Amino acid sequence: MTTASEQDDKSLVSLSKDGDLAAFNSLVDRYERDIYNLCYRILGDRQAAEDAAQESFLSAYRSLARFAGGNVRSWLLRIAANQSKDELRRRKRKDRAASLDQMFDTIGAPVEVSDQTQSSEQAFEDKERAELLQLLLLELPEDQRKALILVDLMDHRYEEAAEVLQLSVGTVKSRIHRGRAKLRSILSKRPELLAGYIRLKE
Amino acid sequence: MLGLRWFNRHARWERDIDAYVDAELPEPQRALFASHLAGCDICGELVAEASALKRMLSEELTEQPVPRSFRLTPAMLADAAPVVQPAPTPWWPRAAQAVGGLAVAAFAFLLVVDLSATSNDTFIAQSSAEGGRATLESSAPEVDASDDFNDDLVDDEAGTSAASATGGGETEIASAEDGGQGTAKTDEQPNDQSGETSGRSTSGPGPGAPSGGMELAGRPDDSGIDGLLYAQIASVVVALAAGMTYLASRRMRQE
Repeated sequence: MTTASEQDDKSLVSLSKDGDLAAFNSLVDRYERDIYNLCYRILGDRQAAEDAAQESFLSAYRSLARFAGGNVRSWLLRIAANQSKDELRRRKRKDRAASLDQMFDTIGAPVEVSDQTQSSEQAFEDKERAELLQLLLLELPEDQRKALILVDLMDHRYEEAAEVLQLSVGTVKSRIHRGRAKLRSILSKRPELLAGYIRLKE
Repeated sequence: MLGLRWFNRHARWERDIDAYVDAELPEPQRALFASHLAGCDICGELVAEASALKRMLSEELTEQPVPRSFRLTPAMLADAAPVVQPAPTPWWPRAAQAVGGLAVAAFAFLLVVDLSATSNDTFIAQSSAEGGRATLESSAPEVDASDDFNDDLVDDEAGTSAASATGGGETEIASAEDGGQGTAKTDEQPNDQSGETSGRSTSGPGPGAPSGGMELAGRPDDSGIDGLLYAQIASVVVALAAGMTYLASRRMRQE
């Protein structure tokens, strides 16, 4: 059963196929936040995520003719996931070391506090914890990381994640299980992260 | 045993914990799991831990605002074309690379040939001074044997055929000793020659023996070594020229 939004997506795709760039840009406006966030969480680097997101939309526009229908959001996310995979392959491990250095640099950087009631110390702790969690996410194998990002961070159901990743629901379930087990194992070596979270949030 | 039973009891539930936390467990399994949880503190703790992890991820790694718009522009679509089809590089830097590579390979090959020829010369010089004499010495009895055989032939057959057979045997020995100048030798000459060679080998290599050996091996190779030298020089020159051409092409591309 298709929703009104999906129907609207399909008509925009149809117009884009006829060369209507404005129609395609309407899709970009609608999904750029999802695409950028998926790329950012997979890559762990803002500039690389920006490039990957832009390249994903370009790639999607060029491959419009091959779009055979289905959910447009899932199709765009699939392209972004593949684009990020290519980017990861290019960067490999040396960039992970670079992102570690970058993380240590940014931890000391000033934090913009949007809520006036929140103290700067609290903002610093939140930022540090978020950065560390992002790095822990990068420790996971890429296939498990993608499944966890879609399910835990982007609130996808297993079936939706399976559609994006072109896997069976059982495989997604297995990757989520293994990904979380590995994350728990990593966190057991750094108990202050989870303990701190539980202390603050519960 | 108790540990193994505990493991078996919980292992079947453990793989469903995350699906249960995500509310993705189908109904018969979900109800079974829920009833197990009611009486199992260990699985209850695991579920609490998995839930905390999921909550931590979703609350800490929040959605980031986009740094800029990712809208496509006609310029982007136009700019993308040259990236897909890079400008073709001229053919001659590649040709210079190939020629240079071949010249270096040729030089290396010629060097190996040259070195092996030099070592062969030394080996031939030594073997002609020592082993070569022994060969001639060992061939001498064969001459005698052939002479005996020829004597039999003389007895049995016509003298002309026996004379030609003897002459053939002598010619072999003579050519081995004199470099192919013994076609007109008489019957005494080979015997004298073999006598000479055996005399040399028993008395050790005389002062003339090594130089004679060197002449035999070295004379035909002298022109070959010269040729090798010229070829080596030529290959170095070609390699240098190709290298300079390639560097010039790179400089032009950078400009």
